[in-house]
Amino acid sequence: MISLRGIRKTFLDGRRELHVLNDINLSIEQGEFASIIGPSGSGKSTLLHVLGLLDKPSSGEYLFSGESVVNMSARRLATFRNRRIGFVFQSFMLMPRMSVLENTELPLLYSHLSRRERRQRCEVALEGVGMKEKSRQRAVNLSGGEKQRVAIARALVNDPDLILADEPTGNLDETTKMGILQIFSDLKAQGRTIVMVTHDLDAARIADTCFRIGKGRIADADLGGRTP
Amino acid sequence: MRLLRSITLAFHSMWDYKGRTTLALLGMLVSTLLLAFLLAVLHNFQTSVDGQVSGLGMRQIVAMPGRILNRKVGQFDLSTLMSVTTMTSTLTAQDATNVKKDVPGVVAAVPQTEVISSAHYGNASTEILYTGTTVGFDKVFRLQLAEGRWLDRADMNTQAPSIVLGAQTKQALFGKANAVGKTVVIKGVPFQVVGVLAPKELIGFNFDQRAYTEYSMLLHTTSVKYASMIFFSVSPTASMSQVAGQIDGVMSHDHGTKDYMLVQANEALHLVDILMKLITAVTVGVVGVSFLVSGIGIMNVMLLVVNERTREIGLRKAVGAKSYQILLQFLAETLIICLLGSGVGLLLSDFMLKLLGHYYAAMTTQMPLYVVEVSFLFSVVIGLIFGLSPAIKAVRVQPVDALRYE
Repeated sequence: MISLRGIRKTFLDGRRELHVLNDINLSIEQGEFASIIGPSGSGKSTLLHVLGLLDKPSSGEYLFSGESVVNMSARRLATFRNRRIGFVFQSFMLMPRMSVLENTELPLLYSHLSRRERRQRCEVALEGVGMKEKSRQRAVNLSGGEKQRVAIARALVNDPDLILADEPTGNLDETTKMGILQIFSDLKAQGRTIVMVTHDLDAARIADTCFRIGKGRIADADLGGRTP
Repeated sequence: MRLLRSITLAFHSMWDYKGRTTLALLGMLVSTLLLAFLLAVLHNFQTSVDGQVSGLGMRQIVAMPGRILNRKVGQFDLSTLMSVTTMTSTLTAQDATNVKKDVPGVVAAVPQTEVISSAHYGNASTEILYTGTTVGFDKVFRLQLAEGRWLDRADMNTQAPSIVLGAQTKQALFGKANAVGKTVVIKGVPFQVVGVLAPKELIGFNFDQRAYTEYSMLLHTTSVKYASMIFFSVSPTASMSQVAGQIDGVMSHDHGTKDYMLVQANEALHLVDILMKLITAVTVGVVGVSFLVSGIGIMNVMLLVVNERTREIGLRKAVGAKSYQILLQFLAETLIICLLGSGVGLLLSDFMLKLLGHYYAAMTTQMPLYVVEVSFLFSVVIGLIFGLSPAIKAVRVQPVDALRYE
């Protein structure tokens, strides 16, 4: 479903060039759950940003469902992200003053759905992560695990082709982490395509395939025991 | 639909940042309050003057001591005011009589002269304008009587002096008691009160603090020899300028020189109009600066808001917001702040106008539609100009940078 060929990403640090991604080649099939592990500064998040069309690669080819997305206009990229990609961030990225429902609804505000349809979809997504009862609560009053559940509901609400998760358990305690990983396992069982970057091996093990990234290069990783 | 959604989003965000929104709103509120209140006061002042002078009939010509340089009929402007030389009055009651006799277009001619004096009744006393005039004066100014009658021919008898009191003079001397038939002492002379005027509001005039006696009586009891003004009422069918020319002819012949000036009521109104336009222009200019300052204030607050909401903007972009949607959202926020500030400012200025009207009954207290339009136009223009920079800053936020922003 997604295919990266020779992807490079270079940042300028003053006069010095930082090669964060070096010739990344990666294919992920429809319904596959892939995890990418690596230490801090290895380029995991940059790769995820490139995969999520939030950042453009310096060079290389990126095909999404066979369509080249590297040279898309900003306007088309926005539509593409809105309809086909769901994001889950380590720091949840919820609007603290908004309610759970309003946070979940955010991507739908930029679609063409009516208010009624938007609310229906939000309820389904929130039910899926066990947060429907708290839909009227303000995000600021939720626990870390609850915030991440809402963030997952927001990623799912547009029924995207690809879910990208950036360290989704990074800010959670052990018990809460297991709850979130269970949701990801359920999503895998539903046949969702998921890419998760993490440095947590427990999290990485629930994926079908695991890649290791280091010094901007990617390779298959053998975690032993894989997929619980 | 998208615009409506942008407006809804803007309202949500403004509600979330109530403190900043209120700060930004205050500047626009004060500017609108100033603009609307000042323009409305000027408008109402002019309307009141126009209404009152028109109420008297625009067909009046006033002779006053002094001269205007090179003035032709119909050429009355601001420079006229600076071309007047004052002179000791040489106007007499005889001028009024002669003009009335020789100029058919003049239906009434009444002289007026006055001195400041004290009026006494029992232990009460008050300072008044002791005024001498003739029989037709009440008709010329359409004065209403609260008690008794106006002066008549019999009052020319200096052996039995009579007087008509203005409303405030009567109040000061008699309170709520009837004054007619009582005796008031002015300049050591006992006057019998024959009438009391109803209160009369006319901007630029003072009827209430006067005591009116027959013209010859005033000359008899003071050292005054000449009239301060002569009022001529012109027939509805006669041409004002033609009649003014004829009055000029009679008076210059009698005086042997041009030591007076003639002012037509409509010309005076024209002058008020010019003055009002000048003051309005200055007001709009000064308040324009105030709007500019409040616009800069709003821009600064909105720039801070954009900074504070960098992550929110990044998130919105990440989940699919297009640049124009972000632009519209922030522009809508600025515009709503401006319009809300303007609306509240207008309401407050209307309230202040009514409050002013409560203390100055002579002034009307209408909020003219054009003031509302100008206020909203100012706020929209300011909102668009000063809202653009923060909105563009928001558009330039890169989602990937914003997501890293803590």
